[in-house]
Amino acid sequence: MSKFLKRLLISLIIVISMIMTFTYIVDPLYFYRLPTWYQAQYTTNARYQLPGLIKNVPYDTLIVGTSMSRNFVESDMDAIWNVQSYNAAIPSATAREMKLAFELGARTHPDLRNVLWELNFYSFARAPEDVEDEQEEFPYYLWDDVWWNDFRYLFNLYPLKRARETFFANIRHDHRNRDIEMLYKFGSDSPTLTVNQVKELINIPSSVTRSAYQFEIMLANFRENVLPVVRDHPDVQFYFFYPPYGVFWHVRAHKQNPDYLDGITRLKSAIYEELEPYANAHLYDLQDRMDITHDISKYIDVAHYVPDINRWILEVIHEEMPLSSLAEATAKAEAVREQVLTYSLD
Amino acid sequence: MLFNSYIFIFAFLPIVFILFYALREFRTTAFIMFIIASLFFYAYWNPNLLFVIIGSIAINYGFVKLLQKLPHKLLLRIGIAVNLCILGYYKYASFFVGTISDLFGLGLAVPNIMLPLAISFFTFQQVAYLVDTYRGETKEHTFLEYVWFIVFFPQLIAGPIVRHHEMFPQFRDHAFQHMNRENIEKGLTIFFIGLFKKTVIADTLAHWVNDGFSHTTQLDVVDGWITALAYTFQLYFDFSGYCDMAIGIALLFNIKLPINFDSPYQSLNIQQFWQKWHMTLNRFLTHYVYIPLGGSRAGKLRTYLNIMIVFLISGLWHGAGWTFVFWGFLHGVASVVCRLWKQLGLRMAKPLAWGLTFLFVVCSWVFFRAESMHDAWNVLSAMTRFDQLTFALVWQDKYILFGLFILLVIVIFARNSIAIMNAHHAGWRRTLFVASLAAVSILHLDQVSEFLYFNF
Repeated sequence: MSKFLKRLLISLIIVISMIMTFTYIVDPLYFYRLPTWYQAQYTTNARYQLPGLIKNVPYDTLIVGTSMSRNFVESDMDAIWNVQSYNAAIPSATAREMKLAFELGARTHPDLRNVLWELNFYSFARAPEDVEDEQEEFPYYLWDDVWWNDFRYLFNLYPLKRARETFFANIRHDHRNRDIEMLYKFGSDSPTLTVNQVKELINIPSSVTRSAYQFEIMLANFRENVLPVVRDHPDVQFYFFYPPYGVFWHVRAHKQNPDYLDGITRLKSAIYEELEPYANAHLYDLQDRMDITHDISKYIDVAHYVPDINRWILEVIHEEMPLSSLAEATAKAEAVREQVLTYSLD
Repeated sequence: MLFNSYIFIFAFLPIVFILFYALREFRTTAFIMFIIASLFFYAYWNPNLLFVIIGSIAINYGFVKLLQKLPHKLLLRIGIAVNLCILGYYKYASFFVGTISDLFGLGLAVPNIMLPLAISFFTFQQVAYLVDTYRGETKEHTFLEYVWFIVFFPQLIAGPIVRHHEMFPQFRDHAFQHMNRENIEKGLTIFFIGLFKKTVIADTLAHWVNDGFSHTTQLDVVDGWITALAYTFQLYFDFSGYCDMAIGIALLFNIKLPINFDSPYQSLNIQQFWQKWHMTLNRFLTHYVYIPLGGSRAGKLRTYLNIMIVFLISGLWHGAGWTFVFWGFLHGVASVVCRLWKQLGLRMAKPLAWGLTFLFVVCSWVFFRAESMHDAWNVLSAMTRFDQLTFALVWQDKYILFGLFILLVIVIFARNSIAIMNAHHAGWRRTLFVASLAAVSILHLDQVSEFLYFNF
């Protein structure tokens, strides 16, 4: 090898090592440890930020789900359930992403006791291996347990940009996004829906409600991403729930996809049957609660409920019994179908 | 496949490099391997593209064989016409149908035809080869050599546009497949300079460019200048970065590609600019359009007309749209004015000449980039609203303005990448410089983006 190439190689190793060492020490996504020597500012990019928090925040109860679960406030849950919780819900999460979140939590927290797991049809309507990577690449290297691919984090521009932003936030006394508990919470000051808005929204196609919602795909997804997790962790109690979408959300999905109602009704029965053998699985269907789902003032958009509903869910699951028979599960699913078919805004 | 991607840098290029030298004793196998690798590189995103390039090569090689046996002008014209028809169908059919439909209010359905990657580049290269074949310059070339010449992956997608006499002697040289230490060192140096120009500078500027050109009605005077200047530098660092990488990769295989940029923003007039910007396209148009049209031998008026034709073709070559045609028209007019100025023996102070040339180039790039003439006018009129100019407005954009100023200083005063490559040495400062460029560029690879000239 020529002198130039030798020196180039040595120089490259030096420069890359310096960058990786810097990222390791500063750890801008808190992937290795929570910061002790500077004030952290967390990024709202959940898929990059959550792995570090799931690994390093102490908890015995984990929440996984989509944006419908983001507003579970950990201190509320701790008080109601008498646990130490952490909310690892990811906006627009697919079932695979929820599985990755749980597995990372279980690997790094051997004392994990409970999981509150949102069963959202949207998350199951795609292929089982799908992650949300339309906007940017999904950082598998942050979510897996492979040590050697950490170089993707250590030698990566994004953490360096985060380090720069955190540095400037500290010198400018910018206090945004510093509280882990309130990091991804939203909607507390958003106006609630009006009847006219619902009348309009109900007819606007959405990529979410336009999803295929094919029974076979959703069930296959559940079997691949949820069921093995329940089976492999008999010491962890799983509290599954169907989030109480406003009835108008189902109406819109039904308008855009006539198979939607049939798909979710069959899925609910099938999921009950799949979970029934496992004593550590507890299933709650909150979608037939008309006092919530028919009250437009409890929603801030066509999908999301006001944050108070998250607290209500925590109370319901803590206080009420889960579904106890296939007949009950089917009856509740059928009730939702009936409510959707008879719903009127007039 | 993109040069600025992990798969290219860490998989494709090393594999082809190793195979190329491992097959030193098996020249034909090495050629076939290189051709397959180049086609894989080309069709990595969309294998359907292979049909177009392979079809184009097959048709052109057919004409080459015919012209070698029967060097008749009519045959050459048919060959060129077939190439232009293929290019016209894929690149210009939508534009022409849309224009005719709009002009005559016919309401025709505009065909949505996928533009094959780099069709302008490989078509022009093959047209030049046909002309050279007609002139009897390509008799000894084999089919494999011809295909290799057309699909040589370092310059397949966006040039430089090469001519056969630059390439064939190189890969017929007995030392072609012998590792050349200096070539590898120089190749790596210029490759990483190009990668840095693309991933760090051009892609960073893209943020302001895209933002400005997608909100042209909302630009104030400072935004207008930022948009135009950012694009001026983005295009230069993007395309010259690509060419640096192409030159560097080719050097790893002992091929010296012609340079395509020679500090064009230092030009003192528009003629000089075109001697320094996309030099191989300019050379192609001079050899195969301007001179056959009569060049400057048929009187002044005809010379000016020929210049206008060349630039209008150049505009249309860059894109099927009126903004590109108008951009070509502007450069044609400027070149005619420049020629007249010289013929009249007029002179201008150098700083003023540089300023005027640079200003013209910046303004004309606005048409080159804008989605429509309307958008281009919006940006240009924003740039003239000096009544809005306040210190607060400037201060608000101080970082990008400072960045643009630094880039301006670099393009005016710094040595260009070719000069840096040629001043090659193995000192620690040099290797640390190249290693830093490499490391920082690789850091930026996660934000993969296409090269601007892929569209042309």
